[in-house]
Amino acid sequence: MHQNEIPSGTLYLLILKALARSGELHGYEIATWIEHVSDEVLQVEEGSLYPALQRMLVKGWVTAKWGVTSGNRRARYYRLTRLGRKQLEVEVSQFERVVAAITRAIQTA
Amino acid sequence: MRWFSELGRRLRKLFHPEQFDADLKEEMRLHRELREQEQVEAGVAPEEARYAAQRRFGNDLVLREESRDMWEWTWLENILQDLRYSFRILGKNPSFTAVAVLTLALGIGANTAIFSVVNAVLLRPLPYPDPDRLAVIWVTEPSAPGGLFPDTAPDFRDWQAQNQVFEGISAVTIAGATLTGSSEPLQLRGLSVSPNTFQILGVQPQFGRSFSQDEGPTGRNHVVILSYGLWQSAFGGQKNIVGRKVTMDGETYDVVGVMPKDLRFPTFWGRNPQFWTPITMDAPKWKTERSNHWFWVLARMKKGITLNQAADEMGTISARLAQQYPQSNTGVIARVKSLHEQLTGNVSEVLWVLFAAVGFLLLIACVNVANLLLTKSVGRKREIAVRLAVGAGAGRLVRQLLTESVLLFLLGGVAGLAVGVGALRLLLHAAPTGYIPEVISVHLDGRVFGFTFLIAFVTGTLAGLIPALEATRLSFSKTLKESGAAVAAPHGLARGLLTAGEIALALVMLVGAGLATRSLVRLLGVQLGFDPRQVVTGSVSLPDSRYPKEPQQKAFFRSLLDRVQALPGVVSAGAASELPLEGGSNGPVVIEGQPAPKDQWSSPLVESCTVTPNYFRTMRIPMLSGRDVAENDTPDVPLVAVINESMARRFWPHQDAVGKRFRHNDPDAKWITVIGVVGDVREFALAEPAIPEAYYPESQSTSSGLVLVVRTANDPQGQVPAIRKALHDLDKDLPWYSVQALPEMVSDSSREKRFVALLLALFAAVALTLASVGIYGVVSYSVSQRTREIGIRMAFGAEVRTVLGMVVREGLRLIITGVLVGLLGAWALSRYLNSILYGVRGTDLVTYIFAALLMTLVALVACLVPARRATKVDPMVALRYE
Repeated sequence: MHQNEIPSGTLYLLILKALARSGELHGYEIATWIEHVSDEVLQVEEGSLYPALQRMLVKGWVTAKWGVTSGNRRARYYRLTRLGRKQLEVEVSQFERVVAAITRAIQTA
Repeated sequence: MRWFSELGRRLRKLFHPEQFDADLKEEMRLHRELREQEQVEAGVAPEEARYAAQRRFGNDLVLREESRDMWEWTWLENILQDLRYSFRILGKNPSFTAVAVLTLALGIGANTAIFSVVNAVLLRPLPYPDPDRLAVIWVTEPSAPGGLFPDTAPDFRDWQAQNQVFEGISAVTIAGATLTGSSEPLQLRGLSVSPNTFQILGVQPQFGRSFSQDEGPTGRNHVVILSYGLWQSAFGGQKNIVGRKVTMDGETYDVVGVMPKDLRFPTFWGRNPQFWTPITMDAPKWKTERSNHWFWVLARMKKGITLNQAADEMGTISARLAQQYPQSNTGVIARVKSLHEQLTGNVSEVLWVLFAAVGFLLLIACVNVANLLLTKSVGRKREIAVRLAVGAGAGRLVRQLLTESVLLFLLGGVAGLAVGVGALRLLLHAAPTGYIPEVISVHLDGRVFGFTFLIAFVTGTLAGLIPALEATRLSFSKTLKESGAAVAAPHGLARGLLTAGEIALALVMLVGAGLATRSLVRLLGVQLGFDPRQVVTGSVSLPDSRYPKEPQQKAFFRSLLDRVQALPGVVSAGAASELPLEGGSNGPVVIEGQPAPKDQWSSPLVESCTVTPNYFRTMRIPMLSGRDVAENDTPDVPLVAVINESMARRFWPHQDAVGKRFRHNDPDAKWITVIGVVGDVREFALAEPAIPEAYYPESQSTSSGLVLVVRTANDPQGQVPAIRKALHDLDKDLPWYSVQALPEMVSDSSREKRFVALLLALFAAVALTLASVGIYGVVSYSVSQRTREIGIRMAFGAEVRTVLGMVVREGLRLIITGVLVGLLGAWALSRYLNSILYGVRGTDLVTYIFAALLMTLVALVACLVPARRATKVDPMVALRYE
């Protein structure tokens, strides 16, 4: 299967969405969720998740807490805040506007 | 809020950097291991799986770096960068920086010093527990409207019994005493107080105990509490002092306590009491008399009671007493004042005036520095234009320029703090004793520091804003294309307004200082009515225990005066119960042949003083008619008095008062014949005109204490030991106390006004200097900008006079605008000066004209210097300039 880099600027959107759907996730879970729901089309350059998560922590969109995985390993779990939920809406509507515009542009051609 | 919680998170990260890194490492490792495990489970060889996981993850060192960067403080970085840049700029212009910092240090330092006093006196609570609940109670008297007087003993007892608003009220009265038993007899300042006084104030003795309830009104009262100072000086700080007996006025007292060193007893009852004894209110003259106003009243309000409630309650009680005792209490109303207001009321108005003056000074300093910044920003036009052109945001640029000015002002603040600390020390040193209430300690605290840096920051921002905004208004192409001179116009306006403003402010200060100085001159020119030169004075008190009888007292004073009079170097000697300028006591009188007033309180009040023969001659108070009191005015012959001019004019206008009679308003008082009229003297203060006063011969009165007044041939202080020896030859246990040369006392009485006038004059002088420097700067800048224009004019044959006129005219416009605005401002503010003025109105025309002329003149000179430089412009150089 051919894999695609995710479009720039949408990493936040995808992380926010992942957390919105699943509640609490650690980094690896977020990466696999994104691959999974996009039918492996979207592949995250996995390491870049982490700076993005830190940025989101700074902004207060997510909070982080150490917990234990099912495999009994220590992992940092991320969870959306109310601010993060609002940000998700913002990012979704922004993304939709861009996609609609691009779509229009393509169809015109 | 969002910004705030972000700050919190950033700070947490900032303080736990290792934790942050460890956490990141751990979660990244977990990620890789989980991926590796997944690959292994999918059948990839373990070695292969690890590499794959690593590949997919990326460079974790770089990623950790990026993660850290997410937390970077870009705004802080920017500020640091701005600061570094600002320091560099300021360092590159050391003379500019020095002038600006110095100017600001003066402005800010003056504010720091005055604010320290304002803070201590007006803002900080008094040094007692729950000080807001402390109050003092005075009474009004219908015969002296506007005055507030101490209370009487029967009223005090009624207040105590009837009020519901005070936790306690206590009475205080002055009690001097002579301490004997140690080497030299010592005259002490003391207070008689109700036993609960210390409890009301909330202070405890350091050793021993306070007074108990039964020590006081009627019970045991030969107990004494010593001040720390007296304990140290007279008893060498001996630990076993409590329980010992001391002899005061020939009577034995038990020492029951010593007050702590830092006790600050309210000072309006006379300064620094050295001892306290319990008050006895059952003395016959106090017991029932509702007209003997002897007691100051200190009170502590109950929790939750406001000053207004307390005042209402006391008003109600006063009304009830007036109904009950119409003869004595009609129109006598109790007035409740907070202790804080009582202690600081006098000084507060003056403090606000001084505070306003230094505020103006700071504004002027600010304007000067703002002008300097403007000049500099114009010089940096090209730099700024280039930075704008290469894409620096205007906001960022404003911030950079603001950082520069705020930094400059903060440096000024630091220097100002140093100046302020020094100035405060000088100020406290120079302030008249007791001017700042002694219960208050003035020192620097967090609030003073905060205030200093707040004004530095705020003024720095304001002063920087104008140049910063002006600078960013520059358009890139215009500036780079045109030569410097042409774009000066907008700055010219801002600069002109600022300069006119500072001239206006300086003029307001000049008017204020001028009014204060004129008041002082008036005050110093007051006719005292006596001649203080070469006169030395000091008090002698005879204790009742050893001089119980009147003839003994009279004989003592007579022989004392004879001995002093006989001393070589003594011109003449006399004695009186009170000295001029120190106030006295008064009483109602009835004039023979004039309708008697219907009650005690509507009869006219006359000051009274007891004098010996020669008192008037010694003081050089002129005898206008009649004769002096004499030794043979004994109690057996009709009572006589010498009266002052005011009394003669008031009761016997256009007549000879000598031979006329008056008496005290008291049913069994005898008639007193006027035997002489003397000139008026200033009885209460330099600023208070004379009021009717009668002098009674000592030979017909009772006085156990008199003030000796000795006129010497040349050296008043040099006579002191001889006079003291004459006293000790008569009685070795009597001190001669409160000794001072009369000229000193007179000068003391104007010290307050001199102090304020001096401060205002000092501030105004600094303001005048700064404003002149300001206008000098503006005009020389404008000359430098117009060098080419002036050069061309001169090349075309303009005369020196024309060029001079052109430059001066520009300055003159600013000066006239500033002076007009300043005059209006001074006029509008003058009514706030009433508290410091004497004999001069706040709108005194002479002062205004003089101040305006002085300002104009100095500012013109400041203009002329650069203007003359303009005329020296060499046309060739000017034209080659660009």
